[in-house]
Amino acid sequence: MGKRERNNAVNLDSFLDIMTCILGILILMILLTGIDASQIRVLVPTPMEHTSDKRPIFIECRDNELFSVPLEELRKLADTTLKQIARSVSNDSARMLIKLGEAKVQTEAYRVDLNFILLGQLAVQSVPNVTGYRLVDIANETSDDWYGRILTQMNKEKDMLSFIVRDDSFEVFKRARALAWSQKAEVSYELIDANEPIKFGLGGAIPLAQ
Amino acid sequence: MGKGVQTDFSSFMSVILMLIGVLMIMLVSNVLTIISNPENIKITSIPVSANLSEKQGEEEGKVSPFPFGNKNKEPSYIDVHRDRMILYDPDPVLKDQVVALRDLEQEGNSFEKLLTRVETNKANDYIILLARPRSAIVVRRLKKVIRDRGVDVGVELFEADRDVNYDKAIKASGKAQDGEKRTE
Repeated sequence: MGKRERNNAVNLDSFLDIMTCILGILILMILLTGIDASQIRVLVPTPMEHTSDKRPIFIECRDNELFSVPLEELRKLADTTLKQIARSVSNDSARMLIKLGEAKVQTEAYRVDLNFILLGQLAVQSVPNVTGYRLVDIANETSDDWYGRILTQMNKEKDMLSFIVRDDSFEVFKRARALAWSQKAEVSYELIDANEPIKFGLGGAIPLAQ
Repeated sequence: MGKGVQTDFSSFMSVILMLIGVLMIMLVSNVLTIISNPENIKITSIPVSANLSEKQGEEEGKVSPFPFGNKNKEPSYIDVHRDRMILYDPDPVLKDQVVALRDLEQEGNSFEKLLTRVETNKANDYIILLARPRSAIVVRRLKKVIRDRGVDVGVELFEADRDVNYDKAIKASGKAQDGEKRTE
């Protein structure tokens, strides 16, 4: 009985030889790749402006809060008001200038300064005492939240986020940008003075992604 | 007499299997490092995280910066304040030069020299403006001047109290070592 058990034992010597060979090959490969890997530097991309054919979604960073800039709505309102003023003053340019100064074109958070419209610019100023969205914690931002919803609903192949950053609101911008990048959304940003109106149109620049 | 001494190698085999496992992990890690930058491109990156600070990165998860950014050209940095700028360039003559805004009117100022140096090699070099708070107007004017010379430009926003670790960045990129080798 004991003799039969000894005969049934599997001889693993050749398997052990193979294992030892694999071990040697692995050590050689690690040596070779290790030399290469030690010379490789981790590549961290740097910011560089480049053109993008994606449609910009404008978001203003002001007082460390985020505001959506409804450009199309403001443009339509300005056009309608301009046409009304032009009809009412016929060809009297002096009266037209007065009317443009007096005109109130505004949405909930923005008003248009029509004085710039004759220069081909849409100058937008914020309405005082309007609060925006405070992006405090990007780890807990979900698609139900204001900014999370914009990120979820945008088409990342066709749209990009274009931030207009007041030069005293870096903090909220960096949070918003980090979240956008982590969700593979392209981002452009333009720095403007804290009290400067946002101007679209002639003399401006196309938003360049970075 | 005919029977030799039989040694049991089963425990030795377990050790070898474990060693193979460890070596495989090391091999995969080496290969991943090589794949991350196969051409071993070296550029000097001062902003290494998209987060506001290291602390925020730790709390909210570190996000890699500029996924759509530059991976080829070597940047020169200009730290733009409201009233002055500090240059960070591989050229030791221009590095750490402080240029007051009023000095920009003088011909041959350090900013002008840096711009000319980058312009002569604009296929490989470009300029990054590190914009400090309250520097929007200066940044916009500098961007226009740089673009007019056909040089690429990038902008990163830098908080008022954040340090510019150019020497650390140039060392991390391996550029410093290359420079040392060249001088040897």
